[in-house]
Amino acid sequence: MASLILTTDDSSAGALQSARLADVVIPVLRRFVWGPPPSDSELSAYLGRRPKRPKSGHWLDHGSPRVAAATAGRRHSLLELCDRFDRIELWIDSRPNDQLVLIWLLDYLRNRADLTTKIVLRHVETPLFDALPEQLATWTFVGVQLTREHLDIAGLAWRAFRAPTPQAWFDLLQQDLSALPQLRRCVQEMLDELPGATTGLGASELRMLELLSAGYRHPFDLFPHSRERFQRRVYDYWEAGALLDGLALAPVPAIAGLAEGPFTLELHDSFERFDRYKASTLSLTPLGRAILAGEEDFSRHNPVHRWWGGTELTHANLWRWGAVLIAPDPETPDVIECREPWRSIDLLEYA
Amino acid sequence: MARLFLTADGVSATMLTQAGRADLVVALQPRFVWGPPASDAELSSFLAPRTTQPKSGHWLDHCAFGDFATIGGRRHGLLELVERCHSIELWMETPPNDQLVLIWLLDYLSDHPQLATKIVLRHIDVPLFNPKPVGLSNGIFVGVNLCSDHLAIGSRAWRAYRSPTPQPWYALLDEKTDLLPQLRRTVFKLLDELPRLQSGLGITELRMLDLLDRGRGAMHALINRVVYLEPIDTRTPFDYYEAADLLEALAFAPRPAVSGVDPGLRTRERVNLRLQHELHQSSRPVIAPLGLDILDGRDDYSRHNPVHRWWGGTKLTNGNLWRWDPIGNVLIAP
Repeated sequence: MASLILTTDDSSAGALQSARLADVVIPVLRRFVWGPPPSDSELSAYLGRRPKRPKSGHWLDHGSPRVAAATAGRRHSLLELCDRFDRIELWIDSRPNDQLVLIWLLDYLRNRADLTTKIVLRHVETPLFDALPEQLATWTFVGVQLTREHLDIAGLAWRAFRAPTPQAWFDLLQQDLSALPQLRRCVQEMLDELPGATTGLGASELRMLELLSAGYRHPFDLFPHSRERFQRRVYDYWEAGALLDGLALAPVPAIAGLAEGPFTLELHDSFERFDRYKASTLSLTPLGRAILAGEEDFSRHNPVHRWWGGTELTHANLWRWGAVLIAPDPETPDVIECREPWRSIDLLEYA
Repeated sequence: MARLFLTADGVSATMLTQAGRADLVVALQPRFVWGPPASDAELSSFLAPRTTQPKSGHWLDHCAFGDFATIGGRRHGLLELVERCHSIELWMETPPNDQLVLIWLLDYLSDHPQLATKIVLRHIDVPLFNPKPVGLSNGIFVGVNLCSDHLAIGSRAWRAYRSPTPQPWYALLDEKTDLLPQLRRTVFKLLDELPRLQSGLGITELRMLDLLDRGRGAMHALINRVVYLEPIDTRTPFDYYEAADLLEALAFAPRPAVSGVDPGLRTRERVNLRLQHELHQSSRPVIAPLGLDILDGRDDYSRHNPVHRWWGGTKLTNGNLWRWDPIGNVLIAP
């Protein structure tokens, strides 16, 4: 009885492997909360058999040497590997990106309903990536066998996430999602990252401004690694760095004082630059303060261009969220003139 | 010239004392998330200079006498001690009761703004003491000097919590509270303990039913699970005994949502903790039919059973059942 665990986090995989909960543990690491959505063919190639001349990543790239040994060289496709094991368990954390990986995998398995009889979905409520192996061995997480219902909900949610507008994703709130117990929270947390109705900023960006207002001063004070401080779970280290860049290096910034940027690998490679980045003393600009006061909208002064699922957020396509989903105004021009806020110009204070 | 730290957690206070971070560390530990609200008079007498307060009725009652020898014993009121110490810091952590202690103090200090300016508010949002690694975190915590805005927000929030309906507390969600970066989450976490729209039960009660629906075990293991083992962002604001009271109430209601709880718990004297502990170990609760119906959204606990508990200044009863709808974030009046 060879058993396989699929998980969505490197440290979770390490803990599960050390706890010897399965013969092989493979982390499937793919970020869906950031960047343009990969095409369907790219995704199937990712989970497929590794070609002779690989063009892009492969799902077994992050497997440990143990995985390589057990799977004879990390070439297999997901379905091949599923066929080789007698029992497969999905141990997926509850953060939004983990849940997106879950619905993606379940959607992928929809065509192989015969496999579902040997796949168990564990309801992981406590963060695995925090756990010590000996704790994992004693905690019991409820496991349920995959059913058609799981696959159908996942398929619906996955298509909704990849749609060119957030409407279908928003409509998920009307559905009974209880078969995947962490999915509803994922839906809400992702909606929170759409530009806010009055602020034009997502929840994580707004949290950075709030923390500055409360007295935090340095870039890494505003990063998500301190979970109780940051309270938002969508973005990781690199993504948070890019968000901070967006706020501090914009034509009309909301944050002043970032001494280096952009937040790239090159920045990390230069000790001098990275130290300067870490030591930056940040403050809110008049625009930042006005946004927090609910009087200004970041997107009125700065260009917006980021991806949210399958939605390309730009000025002309600015879906917003504030308890209800707000469709873009067709009158909005695609290009805006970047200018200082008219309301609270206080140049002395700014200097 | 002493350094004084105020915390809302006894373990943190001990750790901070042992680590020599401050000369005096006082843990203020009233439980605001549970039980009837203390009167204004009781609360100010708690922080006042020692006169005729009852046992445990003075804020320095649980401090070590030796620590206070150099500063003239444990007779001082809070304001006096603030005046005598050269640096004062607030070290409240993120759990809701800690945050309530913080806004209570800010409200108390709002009558003395000149004293408040010498106090530093530390944002303690990384676990201060974690049994897993090696004790006290040596992290550096951001601190800010208290200003009038802190006092104003704290005061508004404290009055909102103590008012006879949850309405003003709910209205805090529309206010700018970012100077107290853990307040907004506290507002949500406590609203979540109001009876739900459909089920008539708060989130902690529902969570216990949910766990019972999925597994079996001793009562004390279930309570421990809910109180200590959940991730911090979904953990209950209640302590062990408060959560136990909730579970016992579900079991001893006229139409119970839980069965299998030792009836001895119904009659035990409230002070006999050893007996309570034994009964918690021997009881193996299971979910009753009403509990299953509640979980499935088909029934409402308050339709069959009396409700009688305090939520801040609100007395929740069947006739005064404020409810919370977490899906739409809506507060529903009785």
